[in-house]
Amino acid sequence: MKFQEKLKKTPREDIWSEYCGFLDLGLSEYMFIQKRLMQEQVRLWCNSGLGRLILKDAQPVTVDEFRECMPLTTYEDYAESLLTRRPEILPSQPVIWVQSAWDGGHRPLKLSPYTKGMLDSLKHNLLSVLILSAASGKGDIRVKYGDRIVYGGAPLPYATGLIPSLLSEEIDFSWLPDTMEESQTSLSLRSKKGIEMAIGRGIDFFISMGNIAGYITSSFPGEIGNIKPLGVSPLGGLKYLRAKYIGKRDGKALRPRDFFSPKGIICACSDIKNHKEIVEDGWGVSPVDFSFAAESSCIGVDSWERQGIYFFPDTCFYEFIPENEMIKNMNDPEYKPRTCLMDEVGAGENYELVISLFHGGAFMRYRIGDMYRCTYAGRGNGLPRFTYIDRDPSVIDIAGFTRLNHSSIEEVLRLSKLGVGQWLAKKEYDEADNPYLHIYLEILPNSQELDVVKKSTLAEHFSVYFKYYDSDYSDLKQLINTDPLKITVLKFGSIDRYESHTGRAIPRINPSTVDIAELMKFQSKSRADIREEAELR
Amino acid sequence: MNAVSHPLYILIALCFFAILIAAYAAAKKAPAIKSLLFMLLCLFFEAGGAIMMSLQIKPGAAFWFYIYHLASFSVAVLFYFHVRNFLEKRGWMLKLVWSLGTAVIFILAPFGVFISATSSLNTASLVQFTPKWPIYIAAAYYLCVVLSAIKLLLEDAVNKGLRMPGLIYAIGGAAVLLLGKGATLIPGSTIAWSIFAGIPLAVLLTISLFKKNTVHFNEMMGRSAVLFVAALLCVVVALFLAEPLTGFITDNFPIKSSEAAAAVIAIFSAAIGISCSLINRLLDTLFSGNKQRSNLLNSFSNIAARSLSMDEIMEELVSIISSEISVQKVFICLPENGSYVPRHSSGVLKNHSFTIAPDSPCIKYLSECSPHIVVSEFIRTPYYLSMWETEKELLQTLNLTNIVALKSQNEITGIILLSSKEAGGFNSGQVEFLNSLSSIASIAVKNAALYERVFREARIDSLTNVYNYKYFSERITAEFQACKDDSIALMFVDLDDFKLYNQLYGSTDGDYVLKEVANILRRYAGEGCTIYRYSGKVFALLLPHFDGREATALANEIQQQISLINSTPERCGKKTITVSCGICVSPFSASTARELVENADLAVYNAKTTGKSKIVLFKGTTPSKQSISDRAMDIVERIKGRSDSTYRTHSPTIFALTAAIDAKDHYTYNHSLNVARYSSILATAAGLSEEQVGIIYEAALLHDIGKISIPETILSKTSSLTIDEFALMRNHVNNSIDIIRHLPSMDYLIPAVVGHHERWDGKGYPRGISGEEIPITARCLAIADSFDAMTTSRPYRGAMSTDYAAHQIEENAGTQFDPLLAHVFVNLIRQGEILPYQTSFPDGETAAVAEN
Repeated sequence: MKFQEKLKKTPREDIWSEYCGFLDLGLSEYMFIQKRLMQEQVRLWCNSGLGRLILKDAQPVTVDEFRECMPLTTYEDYAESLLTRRPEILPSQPVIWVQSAWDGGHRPLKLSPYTKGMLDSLKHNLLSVLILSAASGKGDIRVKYGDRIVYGGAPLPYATGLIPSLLSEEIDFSWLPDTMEESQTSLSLRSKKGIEMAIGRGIDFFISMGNIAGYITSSFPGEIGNIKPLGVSPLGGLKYLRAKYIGKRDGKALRPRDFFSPKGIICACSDIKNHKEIVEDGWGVSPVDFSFAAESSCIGVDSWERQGIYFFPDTCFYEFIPENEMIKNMNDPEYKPRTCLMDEVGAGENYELVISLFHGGAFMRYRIGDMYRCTYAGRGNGLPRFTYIDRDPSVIDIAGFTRLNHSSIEEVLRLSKLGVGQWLAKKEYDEADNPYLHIYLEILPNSQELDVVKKSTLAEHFSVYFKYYDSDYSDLKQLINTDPLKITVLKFGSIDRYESHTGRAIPRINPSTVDIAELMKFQSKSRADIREEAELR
Repeated sequence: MNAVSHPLYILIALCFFAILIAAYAAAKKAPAIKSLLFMLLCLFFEAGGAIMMSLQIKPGAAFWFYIYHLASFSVAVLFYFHVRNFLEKRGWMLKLVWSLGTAVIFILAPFGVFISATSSLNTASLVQFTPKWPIYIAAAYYLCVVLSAIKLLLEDAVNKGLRMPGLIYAIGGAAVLLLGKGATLIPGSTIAWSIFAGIPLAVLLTISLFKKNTVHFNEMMGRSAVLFVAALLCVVVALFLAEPLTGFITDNFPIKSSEAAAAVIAIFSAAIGISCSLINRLLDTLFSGNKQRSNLLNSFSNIAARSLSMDEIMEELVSIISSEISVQKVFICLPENGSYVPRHSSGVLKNHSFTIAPDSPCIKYLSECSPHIVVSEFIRTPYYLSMWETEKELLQTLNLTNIVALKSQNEITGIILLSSKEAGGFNSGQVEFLNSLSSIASIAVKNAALYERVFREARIDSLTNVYNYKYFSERITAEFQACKDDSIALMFVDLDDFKLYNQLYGSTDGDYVLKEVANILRRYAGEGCTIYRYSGKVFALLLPHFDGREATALANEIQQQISLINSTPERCGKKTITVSCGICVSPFSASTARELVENADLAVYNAKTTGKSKIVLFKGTTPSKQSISDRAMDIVERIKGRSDSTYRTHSPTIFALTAAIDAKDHYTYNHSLNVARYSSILATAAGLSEEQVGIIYEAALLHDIGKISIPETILSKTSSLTIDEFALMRNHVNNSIDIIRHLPSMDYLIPAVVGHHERWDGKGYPRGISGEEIPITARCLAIADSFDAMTTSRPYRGAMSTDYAAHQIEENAGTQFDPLLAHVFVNLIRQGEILPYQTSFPDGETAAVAEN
């Protein structure tokens, strides 16, 4: 029975139980589901060509044995098999392959296979997200046939393109803009277009990346200012005039809440820390966060209480690398970090998420690269809850658009031919908590003389890079209300000297704030000061 | 305000309420039933009060008016209580408020605060009510109570949908209650609408309870009670209508009043007849389903009580379910090797290729939550989340709608998988029936499974999981009889050099090979064929309806597959496994089950002795024009001369042994040669195969080899033997066996040697077996041995005549000797085929010397 029919024929309690009943699970029940589905997945995966390729001689049977002998993986471990689209070596036949950027576009697009079971699970989870986004309490189901959804996700073959396709199989919604027609435009443009269309028709749900939702909300007065009241429907015109009048009377700028009363706003987890407040203030509705990635699909959602993300029990097997273990592994790639399971996490701890897909998925013990903080460990009552922190420190992700790592930045610097010597890159936040990329670099002595190495020139090169790899980069500046790139030129040799002074290497990506502050202090000292300091020691 | 001027419908309502009260009083007291019962009591008092008031019964109209009035008012709060119970709502605040408000009205009403009642002086049945202004407060209060109940109903309609069982009828009841009370307030109305509306209200609320399965018709009243109530209703109606109808007839038709009365009686008789007939039909419909189900349950209980056959119980269970419930498919799964596997199902195209894991969420749900799964509800539970893809697919492929556990003392002894034909699944009656049936079936299945397990353990070889020799002995005759009008083949599959294999690789590996061989046999033997572990390394296959060609082809396949056991990479260094197959097919080469076994045994022996890894089909013997003795000697010579003959291989051993006996006791040596000759002639004449003749010849040469261990003094003693000496002498048979069993690959001679002193009547030794239990080879030896003993000279007596010996054999046929063989032997003597003779060894070899 489709969801649309269920809404007509099935008691609301039953629908709630089917889609959101997992929130009432005890931790032991949750772990039973996890381990049982993992048992099936271990059997399927280990017997597949892909499994044999990665496991080599090991033949684990139980989940514990599997965790013991299976190494943690990244996309590199699967690239050869997946990029060549070899369905015969997968645990289950894929129905669709979705793509996503790899190393911020430095490498080919990542391909991830989705099986029928994964798509069914994703469909189920998306309906749960939709229900929870509009619920004001347990059992409150406000999703209806014909609801209008402004959708700001990328179209197929990107993973987010599955969202409208799968939901349309279950219930007829009115998509703004049409998910098929507007597939070539950028994400922020799609959202803007959707909002414009909604002025005449109204909005029930708004699905977007957290950053885009924040941007749309902040830029709303400007956007709406361009709309001609008579260009929209009579109702839209009336709403516009009413909002204008109230704004003028109260001396406030126009906000989306003056036009719309959405039931729910759904945002993919974001590194913009205050996007929730911006969205809630602008729309009058608290957005619900959900966790979504191409490799994992939709794995978690906030409840109506908005107290943190619950991970769906039947989508992936979750393991968590404690932050200290992750750092040890970053410093020593040979080190095998310890992982803990959902019933072993501790409140207040930060973890890197490791997933193993169920339903015949390809990725096992896969480091998806997201960091979460456990806000509630779920001992005794209820399930553990998490909040998204950021990507793992080896990757710099700005507002979910640009994902840079050591090799991609190195490549850009090489291509720039600007004589850049040592460098460090760090994701930092401005006063308004907007993220930006901060590159600390040294210019080689020869280049200082021969090349144009002004800050603006360097920034230009990076911009070219961003635009080359991401069509939404042009919106990025508007989106985060600040320049996404900041450059600090260090005195040549500062980094090497600092490292020899401290006796340790500084990570090139995301070094600690203390290291940066020390480095800045260090480079401002004269050689004599340093020598004196060393002698004193 | 006028009321209660038409007592007929009030009386009908009164009867109706009384019937319902009686019915509900008999039903189980669920909270919703209790509250409805109280509500019906109020409606009864309302109607009763109205009638009493109109009839001016003591203590007076005013009293009955207040009864009527208060009962009428209480209906609202009781309706509210009923709705809360019906919807299973918790909380007490509003219940308390409405109860207190009603109590206040109860207290004020007798003082005429709301309505004052005055009787008309002219018309006794007419009572005048004069409302006062507080009545509007009471009416508003009444409205609030009913509206609060309606609000609860509508909330549930929104939250749970109108498909919630019975909800729509409860909402209808609320509407009727409001309308009834509203109509009462219409000025000038002379009908007690609230009483009138009580009938549909009670009907609607009763239906709602039926729909919600809170109450069942058969719980409420029996067939006779319904008929009685119907008759009562007819009488009441007749009483009230008889007079007006008579008046109507006399007024409108030109007939006398007595004739009119007769006409009225005729009309009512006809009406009662028709009513009874209709009610009977209605009751048939209502009760027949229950009766049929009850009969089916009884019938199944009887079968379950008397049968321990799992198949019979399963078949009956499936048949009963299919006959009573509209199902597409029924599967019954039972535990086997830790999983639940389908053992029986309905329909011709049976899909039994699935298993249900013991930790399946379905089993967990059945064990932890409810013994009955409605799949459409189950998929909404968290249990469904842990279902594997294959398990979800199974639910879809089999189109399952319900799963019922056969549960006995918290143990799930089996599960019934059902697929409904109806879109809405099974109704409550069907579900109840299934639950009752499963309760009975669970015990029956548990007992049958226990019996099956014990039966199986006694008949199954624990290592190879095929039937054991015990079961082979039980089945062979029955299978043979079952195929007496057709053919049946018996194939022995004997592993070659298995002792050596065990010595080389250890018994663990040997056990592995045995299991693999059993698996191959299971795979290749079709349906109807049974596999047995006949002895340590010999398997037997009983192949009903097989002929020689088919059996040989099957043996070829089996041989080929077995040879591949050690061809896997991890076992490739080990010796290749080969088997020798011996086949005999009845009726072509055997006429009894025993003969079938013996001949198949001979065939496998032949295969073993002629190079192993062979398939030998026993084809019987061919008639010849030669004399019997010549034929016998030819056979012996042929066997001796054959390059693949065991005799050739073992002749030095046999020679050594016979030389030893010759050295010790020359008589015994000659005696053995004679017996070998006589018995081989007898075997040839009796139509035994060449293989059997060969065995008998060799066995005869060695049959007295055990005498080596007997002192010469006893062997050559001329006087009678003492008891001890006799016992020692008798023991020579066992001694012979002890010697032969140490000879490599000559153990096939043991049955003949060990049995040559057995008697047909069972009085022989060493085992005392009788009749055909004695191997035919031993029976031949026994006759030849006795004949030679009688016709040769001994130290203690002279040789007897041939005629005397033949006579003795004839006389002892059926007691000491096999009567048929004895008859054949005597005929051979009379035909001159067998003559007593002396033996010698011209070439020094151990050989029979032909006379004639």
